[in-house]
Amino acid sequence: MKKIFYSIIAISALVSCKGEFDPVFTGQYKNPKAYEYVTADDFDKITTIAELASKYTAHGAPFEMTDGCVIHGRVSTTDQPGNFYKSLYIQDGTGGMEIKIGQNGLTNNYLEGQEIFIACDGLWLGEYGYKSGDKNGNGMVQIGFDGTGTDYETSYLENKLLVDTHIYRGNPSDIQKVQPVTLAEAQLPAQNATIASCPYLGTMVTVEGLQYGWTNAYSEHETAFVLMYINSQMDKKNSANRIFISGDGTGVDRWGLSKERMDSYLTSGMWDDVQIGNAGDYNYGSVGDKQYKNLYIIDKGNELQEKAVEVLQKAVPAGCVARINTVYSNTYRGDDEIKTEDVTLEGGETVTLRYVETYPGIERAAYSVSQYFTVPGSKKLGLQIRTSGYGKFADAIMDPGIFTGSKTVTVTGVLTLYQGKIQVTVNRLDDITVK
Amino acid sequence: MKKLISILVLSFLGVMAFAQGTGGIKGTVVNRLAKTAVEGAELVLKQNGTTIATLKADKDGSFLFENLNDGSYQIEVGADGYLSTEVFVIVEKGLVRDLMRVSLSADANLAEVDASSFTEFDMADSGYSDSPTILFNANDVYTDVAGYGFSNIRFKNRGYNSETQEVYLAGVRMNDAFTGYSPYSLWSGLNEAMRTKETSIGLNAYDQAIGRYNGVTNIFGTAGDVRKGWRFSALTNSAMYRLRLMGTYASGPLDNGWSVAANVSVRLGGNDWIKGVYYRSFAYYVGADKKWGDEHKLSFATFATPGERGAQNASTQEVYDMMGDNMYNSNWGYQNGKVRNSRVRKTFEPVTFARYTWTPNDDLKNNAIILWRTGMNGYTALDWYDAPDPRPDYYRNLPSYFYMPDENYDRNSEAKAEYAREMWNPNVSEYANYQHVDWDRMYNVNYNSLDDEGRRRSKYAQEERHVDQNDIHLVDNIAWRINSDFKLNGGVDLRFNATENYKKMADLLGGDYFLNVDQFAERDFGGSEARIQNDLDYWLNHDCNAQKIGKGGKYGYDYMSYLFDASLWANGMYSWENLDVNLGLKAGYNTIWRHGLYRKGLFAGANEDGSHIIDPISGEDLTELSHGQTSKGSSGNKNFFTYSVKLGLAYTLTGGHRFSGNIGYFNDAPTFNNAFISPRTRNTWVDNLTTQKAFSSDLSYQYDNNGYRLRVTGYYTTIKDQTKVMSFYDDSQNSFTNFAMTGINERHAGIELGAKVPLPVTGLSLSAVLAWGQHIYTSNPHMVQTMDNSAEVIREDDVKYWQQSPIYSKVTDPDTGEQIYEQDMDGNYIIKGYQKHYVPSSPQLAAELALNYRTKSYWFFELNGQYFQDSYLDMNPLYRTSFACAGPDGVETPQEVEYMTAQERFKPAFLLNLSVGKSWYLHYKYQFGFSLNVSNLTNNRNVRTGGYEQTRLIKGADRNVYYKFDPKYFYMQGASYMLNLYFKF
Repeated sequence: MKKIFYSIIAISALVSCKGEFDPVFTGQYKNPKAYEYVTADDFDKITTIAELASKYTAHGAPFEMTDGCVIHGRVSTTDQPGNFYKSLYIQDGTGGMEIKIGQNGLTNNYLEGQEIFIACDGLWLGEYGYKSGDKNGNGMVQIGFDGTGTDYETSYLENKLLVDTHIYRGNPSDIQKVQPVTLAEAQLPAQNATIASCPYLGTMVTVEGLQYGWTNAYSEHETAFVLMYINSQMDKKNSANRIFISGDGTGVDRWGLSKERMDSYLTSGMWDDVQIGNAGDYNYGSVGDKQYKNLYIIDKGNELQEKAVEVLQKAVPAGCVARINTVYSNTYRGDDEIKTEDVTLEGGETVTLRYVETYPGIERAAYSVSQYFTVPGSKKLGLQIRTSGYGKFADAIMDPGIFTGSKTVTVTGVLTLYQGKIQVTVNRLDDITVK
Repeated sequence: MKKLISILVLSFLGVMAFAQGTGGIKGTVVNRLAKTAVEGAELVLKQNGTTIATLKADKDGSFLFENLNDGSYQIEVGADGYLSTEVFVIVEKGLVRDLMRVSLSADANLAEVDASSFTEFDMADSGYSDSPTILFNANDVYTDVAGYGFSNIRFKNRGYNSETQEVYLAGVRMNDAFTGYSPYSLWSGLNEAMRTKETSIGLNAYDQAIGRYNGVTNIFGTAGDVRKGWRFSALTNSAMYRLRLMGTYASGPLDNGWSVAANVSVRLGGNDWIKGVYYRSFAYYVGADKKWGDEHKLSFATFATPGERGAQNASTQEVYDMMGDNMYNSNWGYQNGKVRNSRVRKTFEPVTFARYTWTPNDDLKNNAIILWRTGMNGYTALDWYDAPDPRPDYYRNLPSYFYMPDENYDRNSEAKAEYAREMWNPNVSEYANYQHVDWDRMYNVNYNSLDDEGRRRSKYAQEERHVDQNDIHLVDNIAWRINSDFKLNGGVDLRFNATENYKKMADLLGGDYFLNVDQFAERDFGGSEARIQNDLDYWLNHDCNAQKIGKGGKYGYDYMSYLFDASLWANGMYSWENLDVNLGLKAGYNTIWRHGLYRKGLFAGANEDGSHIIDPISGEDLTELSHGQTSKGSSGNKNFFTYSVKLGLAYTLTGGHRFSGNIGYFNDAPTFNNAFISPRTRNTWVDNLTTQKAFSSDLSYQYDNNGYRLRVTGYYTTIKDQTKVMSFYDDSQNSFTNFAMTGINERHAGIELGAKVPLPVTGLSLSAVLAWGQHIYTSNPHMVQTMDNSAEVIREDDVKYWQQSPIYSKVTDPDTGEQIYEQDMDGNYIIKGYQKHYVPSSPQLAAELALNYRTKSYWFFELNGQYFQDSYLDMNPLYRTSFACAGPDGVETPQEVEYMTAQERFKPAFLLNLSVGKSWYLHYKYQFGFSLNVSNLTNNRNVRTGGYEQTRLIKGADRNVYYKFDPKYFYMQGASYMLNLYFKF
C-alpha cells in the first residue's frame, strides 16, 4: 500500500511541477524596450523620391517594383486630426510621395517628422486618381500594392506583415518636422505637371492670400463642393444615389461636414431644390422630395395606416434609391416636431398619418468638403482646400470675412493635383489662417 | 476485540433498557428530497448521552425501537451518501411514538468539483453567454451525472439559463442581483466549507425556499455543517489550474456549545490546453457556531476568494485552423518574452453572515439571517484611442479580409491573403507578435506619444471594468411542524443592493496618462470638445481641459445600479399516508434604478436647478442637444410586483415506487442588466419593460429498491416576455448602436431518465442517463435599435426570423434544369415549412452509459461514455431582421433569408471518461486517499461547446445582399486529468 501511496505522491509532485509557473507569468512585467530602428547605413543604396517617381512614365500603367530600390523621407503628415486617412506622405529634398499603408492610427507608428524607409520591391507604383474621371492623375505618383480589380491603380498595403516588411522606421528621437515652402502663383503646378516639372508636388507647402471662390472652365463662379450619397450601402456610382452640392451659394460654411451637422443642413431646407443625380442624369427628383425623407410613423399602425404607408412608398419614383422608412415608433426623439399628412387610399378613404420627418432617407453621414479659392496673381489659379467630415475640426465654422472677401486665407498642407486641379490638404485646422 | 466487547456491552445495556418499558419509537428513513426509502440506514438510540441501542433500517427504510421507558431520547441517523442527522423524541405513557419519516439529506459526493470553474468567466464579453448547470448529488442518478458529468460540454439542465437556478447560502438567495447569475465564484476553492448542501431539481418542492422551475441549491455554510476533523488535499489537473492546496479544520459540536471551522486554499498555475489562462487565487473561510441549550444557536461566518484569473476568448474557425489549434486564445501575448493575458478577472468579494436560530421546541424553528457581500470585482481589457485595434484576431488581420472565392464579397487580393496566411504560420516564431497580443508594439506607441508638455499620452492602455457590489440581505424564515402530517415553512426576504459600475486604469502601458474622452463620440462629434467628454463636469470645472487619467483612476463611465427587493413566501407540505402535497406561494416587490455619477457630454441633461448647460467654447446648448436624455443623476424607479405559485403532488407505493407531479407559475422582475438601453451612458429604460412569466410542469416516476434506481421525468415549460439588451457596431450605420429586444418567448419540453442497475458481480453497477428535450423560441421579439451616440431610434420592428426560418419550396426550371424557388400566381415565394430556432449553447440530447465498480477494499472505478447532440449556436438578432435579410437594396429574396437566418447546429460529440480512486485507513483514525479522473480519453478536440455570431455585416459588391461575419466558437479541451490526494483525520 505504501508503495502505491508514495508512487501517487511522486507522480503528483512531478505533474504539479511540470511547467507550473512557466505558462503564465503573474509578477510585475518589465516595460519592453524601445523598438530598434534603421538608418540609411542599413541599406545599400537610397533612391530619391524624384527618381522613383520618374519611373512612372505612362498613365494607366502601374507596375510592381522589382529593382530593389529603397526610398526614404520624413513623414510630413499626421492622421491624428483625421484629415489624412490610412495613408501618409513622406518627402526628401527631391519631392514628396504618398504611401498607401491602409491602417488606422498611422501617426502612432510613423511620427510626423520621423524618417522612414520604404523597401519598394513587391510594392506597386501607380498614379492617384487615374481611373476616375477623364483627366488622368497628372503626376501624383504614389506607392501602394497591386490595385488590380479595384477602382484605383494601387491599393492599400493593409496587411501588417506586408507593411512591416516594406516600411521601416528611423530613429523616433530624431524628429524634424517638415518645413513648408511658401509658393507663389508661378511655382504652383500646371494641369499636367509631374514631380519632374513641379518638385513641390506631394510636399508641404504654404500658399498665401487666397480669395474665396473660383471661376471654373465654364466661367461659372463656384465656392464649394460636396458629394453625398443617399445610401452609402448602395452603389456609390449609381446616378440615382448621388447628390452634388456645388456651384455658388452652397451654404456650406464649415471646413467639413460631420455626421451630426448634416442634420441641420438637411432639415434647413436650403438644399431642397438640389437635383439628385450626376450631370445629365437628373431624373430622380430633388433633395426636398418626400421620398428622400424618413417618416417615423408615430402610431402603431392599424391596417388602414399600413395601407397609407404603402401608398406613400409606392409614390417613390422608379429607380430612386430612397425608400420611406416605415418605423412605427413612439420612441422618436422627444423634441422632434410631429407632423400629419392625409393619405388617400385606393378605395378613396382618407387616413391621417402622424409622423416625425427626418432625413435618414438621405444618409446622414460625415462628408468631405472642398472649399474653392483663387490664388492671387494674374493666372487666377483655382485651389481647393479639402477637409474630411471625419476630421476632428470638421465642424469648425469658417470666418465670415472669407465669404465677403474682406479676408484672405493662408493655407499650409500637402500640395497635390487631382485631375488637373490644385489641392492642398491640411494636417490640422491651425494650418489654415485667416487674414 | 475491543469493538466486539463494546458491542456486547451495548447490546446488554440495550436489553436491560428494553426490559424496563413498553413504549417505543418507529418511523421510516427517507431521502429528504426524493422521498424514497433509505435502505440500511444506521440508527443509534441514546439517552443522556449513553447509547442504548443500534439498528439498521429495513429495505423499505422502516425501523422500530421497542420496550422503551417514558423519557427523552436522541436518535442519530446516518447512511452512506447521506448527511447524518439527530432526532430528539419523547416517549410518553408507554406508547410507541411514530416519527413517520426521518429525512436524510444526500451528501455532496463531489467535493472536488470546482463549480466556479465553469461559471466565473461567464460575464459580459467573455464569449460565453451563460454558464452550465451545476447540480449536486441528491442521491438521484440523473442529477449525479447531469449536474457535473455533463459540465465539460456546458450542459444546461432542461435548457434553462443559469439565472433560473436559485442558489442559497445559509438560507439566503445569492443569485447576482443584476444578472441573476449563480454566484459560485464567491466561494470557489472553499469546497470543504461549502460541501454540505442540498439540491432539488426542476420544480421539485424544497421546504426552505420556493425556488423557481430550475431547482434550488442550498449550501448550509455554517461552521457546524462542516465535516468534523482535519482534512488536507493536494489537487493537480491539466484543464483548469496546475495545483490546488487546501486545508480544513472543523471542531464539530464541542461540549461548551461551540463549533468552529476554517478552510483555506490556494489555486495556482495554468493548464495544458489554453495558454494564457491561469489562476492565482486564494480562499479563506472562518466560521463559528454557539449553542445555548437546544433552543438558541448563533452562527457566524466570513469568507472570500481573493485572487486573479486569466481568461480565454473565442475565435473564428479560420483562426483556429491557421493556428492548427482549436484551443487558441487571443487574449494573451508575450511581453519581454513572458506570457501576459490582457483579460484578467480580479476579485475580492468578502461575504459575511450571522444567523440566529431559535428552536423553542421540536416542531418550531426560526432562522434570522443577515448577510453582507461587498468588495471588488474587476475584469481587465485592452483600451485604445485613435490607434489600430490591438486584438490579434481582428478581422482585418485575417486572410478572409483580403480574399474570398465568392467575387461578390469584393475581396480579391490573393497576394495580401497570402501575406496574412504567412503571418498566422504558427511555425514561425518571429510572427508570434502577430498571432498574439503585441504588448511591445503598444508600449512603443505610448513611448512615442508625446504631448506638448513632453508627457506620454497613452494610446493603448489596460482598463479594469468594475462591478463592485454592496449586497445586504435580511432574511427570516420559520419551519413549523403543525402536526405529524403538516409542515409549514415561510419567511420574509429583504434585499438591498447598491453596485458601482465603473472602469479604472489598470495599466498605462508605458504612458503617463490616458485622456478621459469618448472616442466613439469623437467619430460623430469631433468638432465638439464638450460632447466627447466622459466627465463633462470635470471638463467644465477645469477650463475646458479633459481629465488626464493616471494609474488607478476612474474613467469612461461610472454609475450606481440599485435594487430593492422584498418578498414573502410560504410553503405548506401535507403528508397523508402515502400522499404528499406541497403548495408554495410567494409575493414580492422589486424596485430598480440607475444613478449616474458622470455627466456625459453626449447626454448632459440639465443642471440640478433645471438650468441648461451651455458649451463655453461653441455656445451650444448641451441640454437641448441631449434630446431629453440624461446621464447623471437618477433614472427614477421601476417597480414590479412579482409572485410565484407552486403545487406538487406525490404518491408513494410500497415496493419503492413513487409518482409525482408539479406545476408552477412564476412572475419575475426583469434584471437590471436588461432594463436599460445603455447603462454605461444614460438613464434610458428599455421600452415596455415588464415582468417575465413562466409556466412550468413536470411529471415523474421513481423506483428505488434492492439497489435498482430509476427516475423518469417529463417536463413542459413556457417562458414569456424576456428582455435582452446588447450593443454592437452596425456597419449599415457606421456607428455603435444599442439593440433592445422585448417579448422573447421560449418553450422547453422534454424527458429526463436516470437508471442504475446492480450487476451480478458484487460492487459492479451500470447506470444510464438520458436528457432529451426540445428547447425552442416561440416568438418574434420586438426590437428597438438606437444610436449609442444620440439615442436616436434607427429601427423599430419585430425580429421577423427569430423564432424560425422559412423553408421555401423549390421546383426545377424547365428551361435550365436548375432548382429555382417556386412562386405563386401573385409572384410570392411559396413557403413549405419552417425550421425552428433553438435555445442555444447546450445539447438538447445528452446521454451517458457508465460502468461503476466499488470494492470492499475501497477501490472504485468508473468508465463512462457520453453522447451529445443538437447543440446550437447563439443567434445574433440583427441577422434575423428584415433589414439584414433584405440587404442594401431592400429586397428580401429566399436565398438571402435562408442564408441569413439559418441557425448553426453543432456536430454530435462522443466522449469517454475514466475515474479511479482508493482510500486507506491507518489505525482507524487517519485516512489517505486519491482520486484520478481522466476526461475525454479519446482526446477529441473538435467538440464545440458554445460560441456566438458576430454582429457585423459585409455588403455585397452587387449591393443586393449582406454577408455575415464568421461566428466565433469555444471548444472543449482534449484529454485532461485531475488527480486529488487527500489526508484526513
